[in-house]
Amino acid sequence: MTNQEFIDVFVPLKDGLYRVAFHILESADDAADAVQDLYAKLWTRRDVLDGIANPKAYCITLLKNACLNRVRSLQYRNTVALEGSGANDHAWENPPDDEPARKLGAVMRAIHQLPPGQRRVLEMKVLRDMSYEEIQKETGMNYLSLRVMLSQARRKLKKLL
Amino acid sequence: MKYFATFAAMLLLSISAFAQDGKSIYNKYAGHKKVEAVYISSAMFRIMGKLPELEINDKDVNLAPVVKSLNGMYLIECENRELCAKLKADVEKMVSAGKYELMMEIREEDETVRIYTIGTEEEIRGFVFFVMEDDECTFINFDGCIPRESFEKALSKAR
Amino acid sequence: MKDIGYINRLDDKTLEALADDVNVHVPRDLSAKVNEALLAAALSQEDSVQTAASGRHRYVIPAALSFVCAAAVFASLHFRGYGQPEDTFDDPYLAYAAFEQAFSRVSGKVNDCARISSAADHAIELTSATMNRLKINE
Repeated sequence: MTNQEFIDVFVPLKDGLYRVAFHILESADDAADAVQDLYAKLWTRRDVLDGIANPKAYCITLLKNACLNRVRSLQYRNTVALEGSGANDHAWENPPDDEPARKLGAVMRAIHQLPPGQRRVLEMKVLRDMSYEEIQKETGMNYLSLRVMLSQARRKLKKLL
Repeated sequence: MKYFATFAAMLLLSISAFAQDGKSIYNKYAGHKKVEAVYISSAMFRIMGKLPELEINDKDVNLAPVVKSLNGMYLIECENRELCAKLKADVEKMVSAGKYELMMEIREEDETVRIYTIGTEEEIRGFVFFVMEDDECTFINFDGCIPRESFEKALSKAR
Repeated sequence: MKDIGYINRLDDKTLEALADDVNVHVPRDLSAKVNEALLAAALSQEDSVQTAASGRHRYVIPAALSFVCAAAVFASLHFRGYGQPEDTFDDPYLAYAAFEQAFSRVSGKVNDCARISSAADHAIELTSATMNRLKINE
């Protein structure tokens, strides 16, 4: 599935997915986080999404499971906090590290700090896979300024990370 | 023996002078942790000078005459207090050995900026920019035969 | 949040109905957040592809290529002078971007200095004018 196909098929489902997440998690921030995580996961799987007959049902199922994991994880953390540290079982005290999720979170926070112009151009190039000519047409920027802006965005992200 | 001593002294002097330029500073500090280093060679400036879009820009500043006359750019950005102190000392050695002239100095709160140039009334052959702030410092060195008028015009507009 | 039992009991029909319930307000910035997440995932993927590629190459360079590289390095050192660094960028557009950024930074400081000195000039002129008036009044 191409980037644009993914954007055309899956991104419009976001509002419905948010409503499901909000119903389950009963928090606007948590619901938005859950939806963000879901989309990040979907993006990494987009090569295998061509065969999905019903994208909406597929996403809702994934989201429900993700929300379930969140609730379980929160309950586990609350249990550990209530019971205090156990001398015997280190596995309980130290749940497995989710390194990819942490890295993704760090990248998202860095993107959030980019100026809107840089973010927009980066989205067009990286996400929508647009050519420089297409971005030029949409933004009205000239080629050199576009390259400069993209380079600045990448360098800033590198610095923030 | 006398000739050998003189020759050795001259060799040492030339080596130490050689060690105090943008290239040697770049080589000394690039690759360290918390140091960002950028080098652009004269060959790359030649290629940049031929980019068709260089003359057409959406800002009203034309950097093309400056780009075409540059032989090199060295940039070091450091976020390590100890390295910054050493870099500052090396930059001071570089400008005094190369007989650079202090063009301006700005001191604001925790930041000191010094700009040095070397050249004639018509052209600038070397330009050194050094900023020191708390634990961070930046060294930028341009080398070339830059027409002074183009350089100053570009500087005044390129914010 | 709902409890685990309740979530497990939610069937597909109920979930779809929840998704279609337009009475639930969706935050205005959800679009931007989704874009951020997608961009972050895309950039993270780019990074891991580049790291994997460089890892593979490290293990497959044959001895002959290593020799050729060493010879090239020696030749470049010999002909270009000791310690000549390599260009940071292969792409002239990226090099230009870096140059422009550095130049803008310098320009910013030069213009700050010009602004300060212009303000100082103005203050000097005012003082001078005041002193001249005082002299005239004497």
